[in-house]
Amino acid sequence: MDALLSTPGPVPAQAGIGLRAPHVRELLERRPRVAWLEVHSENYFAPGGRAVAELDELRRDYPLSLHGVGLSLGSTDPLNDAHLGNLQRAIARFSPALVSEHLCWTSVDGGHFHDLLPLPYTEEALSHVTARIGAVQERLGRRILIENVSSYLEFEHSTIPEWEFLREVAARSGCGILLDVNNIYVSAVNHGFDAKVYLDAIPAREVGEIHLAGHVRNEVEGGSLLIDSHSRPVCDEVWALYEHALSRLGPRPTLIEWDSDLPTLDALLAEAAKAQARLERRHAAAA
Amino acid sequence: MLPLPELQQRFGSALRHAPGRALPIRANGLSPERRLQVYRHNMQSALLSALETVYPVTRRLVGEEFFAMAAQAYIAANPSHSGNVQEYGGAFHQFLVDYAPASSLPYLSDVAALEWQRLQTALAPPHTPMDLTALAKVPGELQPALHFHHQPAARVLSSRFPALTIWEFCQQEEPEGELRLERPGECVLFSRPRLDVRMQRIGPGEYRFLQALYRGDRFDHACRDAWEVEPEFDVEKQFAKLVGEEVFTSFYL
Repeated sequence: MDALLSTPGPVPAQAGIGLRAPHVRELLERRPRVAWLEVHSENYFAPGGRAVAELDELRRDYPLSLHGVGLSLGSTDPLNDAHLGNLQRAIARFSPALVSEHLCWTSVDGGHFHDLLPLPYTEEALSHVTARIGAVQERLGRRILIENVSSYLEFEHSTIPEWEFLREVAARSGCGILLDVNNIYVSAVNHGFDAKVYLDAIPAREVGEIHLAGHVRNEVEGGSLLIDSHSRPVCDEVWALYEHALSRLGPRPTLIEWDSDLPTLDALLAEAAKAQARLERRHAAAA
Repeated sequence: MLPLPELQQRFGSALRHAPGRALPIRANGLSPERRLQVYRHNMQSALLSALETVYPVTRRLVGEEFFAMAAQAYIAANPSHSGNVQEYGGAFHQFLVDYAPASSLPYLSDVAALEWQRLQTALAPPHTPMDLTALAKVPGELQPALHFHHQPAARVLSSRFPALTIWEFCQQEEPEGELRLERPGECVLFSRPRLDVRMQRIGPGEYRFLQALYRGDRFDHACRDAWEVEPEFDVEKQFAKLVGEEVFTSFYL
């Protein structure tokens, strides 16, 4: 009831942070200035207990985004009805302004991998994932945002560049795009494409949110790979790409994601402030 | 072209087991196996981290390295069946019973079972307290025939070793003194009065009493069960305590 009576508005075109459990208490105590929060949907599937009660409370002060990691949209398994039901209940409870998932698959034959696995970029995969996103949007009764993932391999039989695949998914399913600029950079370096070509192919009006995060470089036998670790500050190259994205798309809600080697809440807020400064310059330029 | 269902099945087995049937992966400077290894590692880390979150005390008892080794063996034998990683790890205590490297730590699986029940208590639905005025109005002669619903979070656990005592000992930052494990096993009642989990040691009579009521048995049958194992079990006192803690949420005839 409370959520209905005092729902903060939509997620603004400002900088937010990904909320992780170790920061919750401090956030509740200090209520720092940050434009919005995003959480992993699955962490709030429980019907009761401290975590959901605390999110109820934060929800009164901050616009919220629910970001899913386990729906397995690209999988050829049937859509998981129980998972969707849990997501529906979380949406009813927290009234999030945004709901998002990933352009990937995470399970097969009922077994889940808890990692964002790449799809082959083929007509077959495109029709499959488009139909699934359509079914999910219908079930939830709302539009969702779909995020591009980092990848460490490409399939030989892919025939469509990833940026065209993503654009087509949005066009055919009616979903929005959550553009992860760090993921574009990581995949561009790993596979040797031009990140700007990717960015420039994305239709501005479909982009509802941007993600930024840090990555690491893993030296492996015979070469190196960038790994989307969410464990470090955003690197200079990704900030530059972000500025390029803002100049093309205009200001968009922008999230700093940090999942391992978590910094202090203040350090995370400082990272968000860097995105906020760039957003404000873009807002000023547009005014 | 490999159809999508077949591609995902092959990919899945390649992640779980060693390299299997060939996958159409572009080499592009790195071997396909090296690329798959990144995903294999990510999956392992996600599940290891899930187990570490649920079983911090078990981990503390055996140390980081031993825990990671046990977790790896568990993960290899127990795929995740949910897109919600919070649901992973429920069979870890059973796995530890038969895990040969842990055979010198017979209490380990009891502690793990306690930690799993603790998490289930933490995540359970909320409850509304019982209507005590209505309960007081039940005529005395009908009271023995009452059945009770309990709060969804509430559960009991009986372990061969004193799992709760071990758990409490490990909550100290620098555990002091020596924990003697000569004590017999323990029965534990888990509940969630408000937001936080409460664990308390209970006697064998109370354990049997609660087990019977949770099964849906009548009040008088539950008392009989309790007295069988603990003739001095004080029903009035213990029941009043349980009601005060909101372990029961409603009653029916």
